Amino acid sequence: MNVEYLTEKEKRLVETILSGDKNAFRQIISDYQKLVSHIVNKMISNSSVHEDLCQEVFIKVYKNLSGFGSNSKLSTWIGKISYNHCLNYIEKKKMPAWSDLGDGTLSIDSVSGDFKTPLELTELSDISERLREQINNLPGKFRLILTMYHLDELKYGEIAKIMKLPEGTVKSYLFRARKLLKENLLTRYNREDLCA
Amino acid sequence: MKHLTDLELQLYLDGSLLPDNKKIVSHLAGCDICKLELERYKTVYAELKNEDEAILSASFADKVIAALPEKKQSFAFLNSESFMYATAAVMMIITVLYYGESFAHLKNVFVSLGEKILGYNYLNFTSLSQYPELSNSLVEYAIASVVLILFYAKAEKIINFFKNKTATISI
Repeated sequence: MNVEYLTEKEKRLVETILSGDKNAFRQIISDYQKLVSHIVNKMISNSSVHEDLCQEVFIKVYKNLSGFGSNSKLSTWIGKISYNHCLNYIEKKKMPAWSDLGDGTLSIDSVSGDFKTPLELTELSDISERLREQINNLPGKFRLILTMYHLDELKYGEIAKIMKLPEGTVKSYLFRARKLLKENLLTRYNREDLCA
Repeated sequence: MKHLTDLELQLYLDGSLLPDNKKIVSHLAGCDICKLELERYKTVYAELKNEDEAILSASFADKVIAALPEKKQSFAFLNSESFMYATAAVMMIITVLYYGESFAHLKNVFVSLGEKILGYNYLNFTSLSQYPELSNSLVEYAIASVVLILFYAKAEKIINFFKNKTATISI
């Protein structure tokens, strides 16, 4: 089955850019800068280089646009370029292994973060803050999948293509990460807190 | 009573189609334990949706546009009119040389062409009967030129087509 991944508008936009209209590329930046910055933010801890990396990603997208084969969605293609660009950066800078998920298991302990004093816990009494802390302590790969699914609204298959993972693995990571966050919530809050 | 699993609750919130979706809805209506679990998941989902957006500077797009390289028009010159005429001329000379038997004959060919260019007897091919080789070469030249011009006019599209057929997203 021949699947059309690009809308007519996107096709025209790509053709316009390829014909040499640099300004038309603003639309691509506007449409995909959130996705690119989410990927970069989740993969690279040094925030001072985020914008530069995002810029490099878009330049790469521009340079390679003529080779974009329309055999995937533009978001998947740009996401893949972003992901690979960050992997190259991590390798070049000899940063801690991004893909290291330990033995692949996740437990409440593994994401609880540093020990907090009762006072600190009071300060973090807001459910949202607490959850945020738990999310930030998840391994990077889990956080990236959660972000791409919930924030960028990508499908399992798109995330799988971007991260070169089997679709089943993406589903499994997503399921385990959300279950863990829910269980962590369970240990600290009762129904009234949640339904308030 | 058998409670809903975590997977069922997550798929329900994801809006993924489950064959027994109605069963889940009716179970949730009568089970406080599963309702509480669902609330917990809703809180998690809401927070995941509410994550801080990664903010790029307001001038980000301007900076990117300014940094874009000039598009490499690798094959643009192939589309230029002068290149097409030059190619056609080269093809003609090669063809004439191929059919020509000697330098003297070549000289006659160019004399004849000179006359033609000046407008003399331009379309009267019968006058070329004294130069049968030239007649052949003109036919060859015409065919070759048309093919070349068509090819070069579409060169970039043809090249992109083959590029797209190969691994396009292996960047």
